[in-house]
Amino acid sequence: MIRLKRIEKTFRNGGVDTPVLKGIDFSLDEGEFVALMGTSGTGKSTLMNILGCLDRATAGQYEFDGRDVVALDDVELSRLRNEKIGFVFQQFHLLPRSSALTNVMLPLVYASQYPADARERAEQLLAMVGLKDRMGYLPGQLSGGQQQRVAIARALINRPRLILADEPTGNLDRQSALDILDLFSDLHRQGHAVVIVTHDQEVAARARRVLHMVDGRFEREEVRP
Amino acid sequence: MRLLRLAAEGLTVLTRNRIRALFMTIGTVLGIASLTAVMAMNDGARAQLEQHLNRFGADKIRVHAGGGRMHHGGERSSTLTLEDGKAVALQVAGVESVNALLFIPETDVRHEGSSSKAIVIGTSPEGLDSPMNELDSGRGFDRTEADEMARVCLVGPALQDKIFGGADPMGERLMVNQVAFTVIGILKPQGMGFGGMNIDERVVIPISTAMRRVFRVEYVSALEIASNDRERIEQQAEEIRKLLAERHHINAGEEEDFHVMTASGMAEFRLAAVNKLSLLVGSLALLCMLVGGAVMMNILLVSVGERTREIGLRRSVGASRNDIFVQFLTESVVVNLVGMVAGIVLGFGVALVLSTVLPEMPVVFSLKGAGMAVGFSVLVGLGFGTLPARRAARLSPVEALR
Repeated sequence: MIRLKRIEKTFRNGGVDTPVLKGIDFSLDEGEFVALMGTSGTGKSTLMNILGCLDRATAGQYEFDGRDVVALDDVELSRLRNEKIGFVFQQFHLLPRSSALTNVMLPLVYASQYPADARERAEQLLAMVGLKDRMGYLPGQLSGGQQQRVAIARALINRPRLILADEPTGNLDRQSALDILDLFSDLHRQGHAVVIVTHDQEVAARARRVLHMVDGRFEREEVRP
Repeated sequence: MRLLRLAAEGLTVLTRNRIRALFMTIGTVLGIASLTAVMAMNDGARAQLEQHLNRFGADKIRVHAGGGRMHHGGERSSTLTLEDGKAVALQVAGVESVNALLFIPETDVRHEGSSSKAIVIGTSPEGLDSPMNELDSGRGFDRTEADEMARVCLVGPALQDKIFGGADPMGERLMVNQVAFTVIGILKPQGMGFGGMNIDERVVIPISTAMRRVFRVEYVSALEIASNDRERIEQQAEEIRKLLAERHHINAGEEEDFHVMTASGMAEFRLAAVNKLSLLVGSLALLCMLVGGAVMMNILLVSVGERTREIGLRRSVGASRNDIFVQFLTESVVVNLVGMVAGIVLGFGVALVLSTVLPEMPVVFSLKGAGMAVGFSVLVGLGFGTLPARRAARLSPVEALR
């Protein structure tokens, strides 16, 4: 599904070049569950942003479903994000003045086709993540774990094939974190490709494949049966 | 369809933050309100003038006795005569007819037990054709009656109420300055002020009767001159002024004992004053909108800063730069349109209240003003909304999410 070749990313700040990614080769198949591990500053979030088409690489090749992502313009990239990728962030990033239901439906605002069953879909997803009776709540009225579940439902509303999660349990207590990880395992079982960025060994243990990053490169790869 | 969804999203954001939206609209509301009020007054003044001019007649020149300011017979001057009128008719080219008028205000009129003061107007039968003397019922007097100095009169509707208690006065006797007249017609209401008197309380009689039988005077109050050459009317007015000055032995530089007016001269003078005021208030309105636009822009810029994460999130779920731009621009345009509607309602309301307090300042809802309001608010919305919208659109999603 995804193929990266010799991806480099260099940040330029005040005339000083800081290379963050130094030649990453990576491929992801349909339905895989991968964890990107590493201490902070190793470039895992940067790689994730490039994977999610939020940022562009300085050099290298990126193919998504056979399409050359490097050649896509802003509108095409946005459409790709909208249709094929669901993001889950450490800080949840919910709209504070909108209900859980409205938050879940947000990606549909930017969809090229607004589905007729948008509301039913959102309700089903909220039920799936265990928030059936919290649909009208504002984010401030929900616990951290519940907010993250709303964010996961939002990531799923457009039926993306790839879920990208950046430290999704970083802001949660232990029990909530476990619940969220169970959700990701479920998504994987349902056939979604999942990439989780984490520095937590316990989180990475859920994945079939763990890539360890050090200083902008993959240092080693573990594959579990 | 997708564009509509984006616009709707912009709108939702606005309704979720009403206080902010309120502050964003204030400039537009005040600007459009003053614009609407000014245009309403301007159009009202124009409409009123037009009405006056129609009554006055665009092809008419009037000479009033008495110099200086325009007097509607309030001040007597005995120097203007029928001979002056004849001289104008004979010596000024393009004059079709000259109608002499006598105004005698505060004249005693009586019918049986009731009495009142009224303005008596003496005119020739031709003068009855003026829209001022439109008949409600009955008939006017004719040339024969005028030549015979007949004692026939037409009464205004307000006088009919006052003297005859609203009963039909046709054929009844009316004493005017102790001379007995027969009422032959009732005039239509005019509702216009006339030198501080109610013009609907007037009595119209043949000028011959008025001069010889009732008041025994040799002078007239005004000459109403009809021109058959509208293009030259200002020149004719000037010729008449020179002729009368000569006849009245007035040397250059001395104050004249008469006053020559034309419809357009009167209109120009009054319109110039109206326009000057409109221009002043209009520029204030524009200034107000510009200041309001700048305030709105700043609020939006601050809001782009505050909503950085929200913008980043929207980008991550599939909003393109363009989408963000459209969404933010919708906010500023909608705010301005809402402000515009409120401004039009407020402005016209203020104008209406003003016109009830000051009845001499009529207002008319101005379509031109509304058109200008729409134009200005869209311009301000787009003009001052573009910079914040562009700034929002240009945010890098990665940095916005941090």
